[in-house]
Amino acid sequence: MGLTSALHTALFGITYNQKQIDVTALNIANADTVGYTSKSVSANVFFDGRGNVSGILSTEIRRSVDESIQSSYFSSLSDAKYASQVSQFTARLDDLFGTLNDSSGLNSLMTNFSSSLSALVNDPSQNTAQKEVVAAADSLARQLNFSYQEISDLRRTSDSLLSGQAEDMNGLLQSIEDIDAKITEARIAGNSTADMLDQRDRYIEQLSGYVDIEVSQQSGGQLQITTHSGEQLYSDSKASTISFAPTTSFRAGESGNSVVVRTPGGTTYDLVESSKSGSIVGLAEMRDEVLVEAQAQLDTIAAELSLAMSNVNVAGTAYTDGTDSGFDLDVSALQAGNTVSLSYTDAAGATQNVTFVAVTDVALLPLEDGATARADDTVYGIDISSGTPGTYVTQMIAALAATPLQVFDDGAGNLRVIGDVGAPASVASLSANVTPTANADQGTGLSVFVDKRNGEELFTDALENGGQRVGYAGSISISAALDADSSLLVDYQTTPSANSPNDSARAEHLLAGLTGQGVVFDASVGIGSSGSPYEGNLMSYVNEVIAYQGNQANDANTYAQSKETLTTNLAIRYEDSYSVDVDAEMAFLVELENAYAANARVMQAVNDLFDVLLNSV
Amino acid sequence: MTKQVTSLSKMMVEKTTQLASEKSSTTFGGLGNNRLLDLELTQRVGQIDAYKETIIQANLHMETLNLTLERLEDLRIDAKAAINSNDFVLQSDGQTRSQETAKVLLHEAVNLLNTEVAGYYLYGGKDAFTDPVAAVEDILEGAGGKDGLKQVMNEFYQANLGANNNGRLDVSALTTNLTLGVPTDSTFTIAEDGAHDFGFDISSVTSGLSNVAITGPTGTDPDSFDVQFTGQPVLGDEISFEFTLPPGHTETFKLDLKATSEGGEGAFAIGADLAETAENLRVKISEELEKEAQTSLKAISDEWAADNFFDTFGGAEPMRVDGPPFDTSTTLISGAATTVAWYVGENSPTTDARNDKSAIVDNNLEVNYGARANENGLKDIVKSLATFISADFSAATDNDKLYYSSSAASMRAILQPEGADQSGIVDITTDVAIAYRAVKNSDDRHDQMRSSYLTTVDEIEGVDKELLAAEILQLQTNIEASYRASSIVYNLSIVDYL
Repeated sequence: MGLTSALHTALFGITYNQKQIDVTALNIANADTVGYTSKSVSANVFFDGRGNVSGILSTEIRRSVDESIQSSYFSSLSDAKYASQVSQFTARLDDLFGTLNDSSGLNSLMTNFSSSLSALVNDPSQNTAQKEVVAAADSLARQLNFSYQEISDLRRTSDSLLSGQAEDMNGLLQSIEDIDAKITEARIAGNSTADMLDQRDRYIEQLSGYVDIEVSQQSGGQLQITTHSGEQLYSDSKASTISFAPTTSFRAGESGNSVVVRTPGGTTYDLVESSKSGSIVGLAEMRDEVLVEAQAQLDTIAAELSLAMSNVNVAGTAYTDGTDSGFDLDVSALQAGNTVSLSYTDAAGATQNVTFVAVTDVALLPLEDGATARADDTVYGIDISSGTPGTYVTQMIAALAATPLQVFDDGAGNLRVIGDVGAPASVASLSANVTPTANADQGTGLSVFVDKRNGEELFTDALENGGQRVGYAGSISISAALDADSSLLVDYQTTPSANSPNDSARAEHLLAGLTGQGVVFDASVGIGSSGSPYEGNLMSYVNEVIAYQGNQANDANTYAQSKETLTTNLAIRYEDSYSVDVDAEMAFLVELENAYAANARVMQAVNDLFDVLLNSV
Repeated sequence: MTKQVTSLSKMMVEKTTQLASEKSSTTFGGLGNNRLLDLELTQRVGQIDAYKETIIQANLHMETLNLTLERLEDLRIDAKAAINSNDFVLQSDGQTRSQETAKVLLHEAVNLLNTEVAGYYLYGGKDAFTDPVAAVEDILEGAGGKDGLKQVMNEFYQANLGANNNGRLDVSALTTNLTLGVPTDSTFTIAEDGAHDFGFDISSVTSGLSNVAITGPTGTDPDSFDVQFTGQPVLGDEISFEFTLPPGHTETFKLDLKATSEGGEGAFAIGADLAETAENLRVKISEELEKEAQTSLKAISDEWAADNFFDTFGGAEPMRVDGPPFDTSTTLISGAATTVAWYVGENSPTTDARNDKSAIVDNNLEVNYGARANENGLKDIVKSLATFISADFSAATDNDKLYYSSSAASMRAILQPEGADQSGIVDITTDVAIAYRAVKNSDDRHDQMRSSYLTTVDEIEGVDKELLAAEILQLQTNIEASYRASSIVYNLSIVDYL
């Protein structure tokens, strides 16, 4: 132990102080820099055999990051981004489906339509009343078109957002790859990597907003980033490539392109499928599920609205053969999508319902029971492409062969179904739902709404080409004939004599279609279940749809809010764990100042001692 | 902390929006779990508004119906007074004074039955779009190549009167058997001219005449009877013949004749021999039949014609006499193609004309207040007045006076409900009044429901202003405090103290 040793110790102290002051200054300077983590150095003191300080080695600059909070923050961030993305879109949907006191909302327009029809029932010949109905029908059709189009636009928006986000993810992965390379270099050179690690964390933070990623350190200190299901996003210092081809046209009911990831090894996978949350998943879900479902609901409203107006129920005529009774039914008017309904009681006394659905595309046969919205019926498809009623009847006879009923062709191409007292089996009803092809002399039904996709076509709810109702809301329109001549709302008969202009039969039919109970709605669009589909009238179905969308938006909003709160809390804690406390740094600086001064004082004292020593020699 | 302050001020904005719009949210999503109820109630209010529009119109219809029905009932009573069987005063135009009065009443009745309220004809069933009742002149005289009531009445009269002017009977000549120039017996036969409903139908002969044998009537159609005198009846003997009257042949007309020495009213003279007496009786019967045929039978014929002309309710066709020739006709044929339709409104088969017009004034509540001018009650006024006007009394003979009297009596009978029954018009008025009452009740109910629905909607959608104002104040205080605290925190730095 000597003066030199003390001098050395003080010198070590001053050097270390210097470094500490540097780091503190850096911390203070970067206090407001986003993502800057508080840095610190520590020192290792070495002693020689006699207890003298032989050296102080300062460690490399360290970051103070609480990694457990960091990883919870990241995963919560992806949830929050997912939720806010969903909430944004569902809020748009909620807005679209109707706002309070809004006369252009679907519910108001439906009410208007039914009110105008009931006014027409009161006064069929009044031109104004007819025009009101046409105008109400027109705005209803236009609102359906508009809403459908808006949702299509939302799908397109989400698609382009997806495209942008996929691009961003690519950039981020690339940046991570770059910075990872630099970190490795710095490590090898023994330089501080703290700043670069900060930068890398910020990239990962951004990345975790897009999809829920799992981040782990590989043995070599390199990062490994995988998706929720373990697919590789970044591994062995190599980033996977994310590609997304924007969907050019959105077919009704069809999904858009997905986000594809190609790993450095060359395998590809679907990013959306392998992730659970994050804004990309949110967007894809919106684009392919929620928005599509909303469109399907609009389609259902449009389809049921059209059918309610146009459907003509052709009842079977009673026929008796000895003790057995049943019905004859003319099936010649069937068009694709039209149905024949049969209800009978079997030997066990149970009521059985059979629905025949007319199709022109043989490839659709045989039909599933789910082809109709009703849950309690057995469905058979009937090929009507021949146009000959006799062949329809032949198919129906074959379909009903296993039942105890007696089914024939009456010789004129009409379906004859009679019960069998011996079985016993009895026929309760037999009727057909057909769409009139002309505006008069085919019953009181009227095709108020038509399908404008390929010119003007009747809406018959045909199953061909994926189903006529898919995308129908986008092309529903009032028929040109009705637009030109509103008296079609009253004139349903021209031969043998024209009906009176004051005859309200057709207006009553139309109103009953709108407000009549007992319509069964397709459960696949989110309202009701296939086992017990929603059954009621069209007016309340529209309410259900609006309420469904409102509910969905509200739930999404609540979820988003709770996720946001959680993420905010985690963000605060995360920030607290790494951020610079200027006060602490300042206090530390004072400490350092004093330490520095003390070290200097020691050196001064050693110097003084040396002086005394030398002078005394 | 910044986030918290931002969320506070966001909430502030939200609350002030609520205060301004007085709604708790702009979308249904923000309404909470009552959104479906809110939608349903809003829709119900819309429906109620539609029902109320219907009610306004139905009320207008029914009020007008009521007014016209009241007037029609007055008309019925006036008409009854006008058709006075004792008041035969001919005017220079050949019409009686009462016919003139009746004509004025008929015009008014037709006018009332053609009442129109904004395109809806009250008495035209459900879908009339022109006057349901033809013009009075067309009804009486015919139009467009089709015959009117007068022609139809004339044909019925011819058919009932027959070629012999005696109600379609054949009174044979007297067949007398002589023994040495002295009549031993004299016979004449009265026979119906065929099997049909027209004219008189022989019902029975009750003879109290001595030395007279009656053969028949047998009760078959065509019926006949022989009256054979084998000697002179005793003075004071009586004989009576009973005939039934068309169209139902349930009403009878009885001819009582008494054997007297000089004949006269209700009697026949006993002549020098049995042949002469028989001839006297034969002539007397012929005369009486002819007189009856031209008076009471004519009145009955008119009524019959009128029934066939006017009873078209539920799509029934007007019936006319098959002919010409009419005086030998035996059947009625449809006159749908050749006769003026006096009623051209809705005329489909129905049992209740009320069902023609219905107004749906509530869920499952439909009121019916249709009326057809050709339903009972309304039709009767037009029928009796038009028939009375069409009768021709211009010759002013004694027969005409009798004809007038019985015509007036039968027309009055049409207008006069049987026994204590109320008139058909009152029945209709009652129906309409009941419907009106139902509508009124549901209107009141709608008002109540509407306001209660709106209250509920308001509760769901609305905000409590006082509460909101208090909340805003509280928020304001909080925000200010937060700002102050933040500013203090951010200003606190040890740097300032070193």
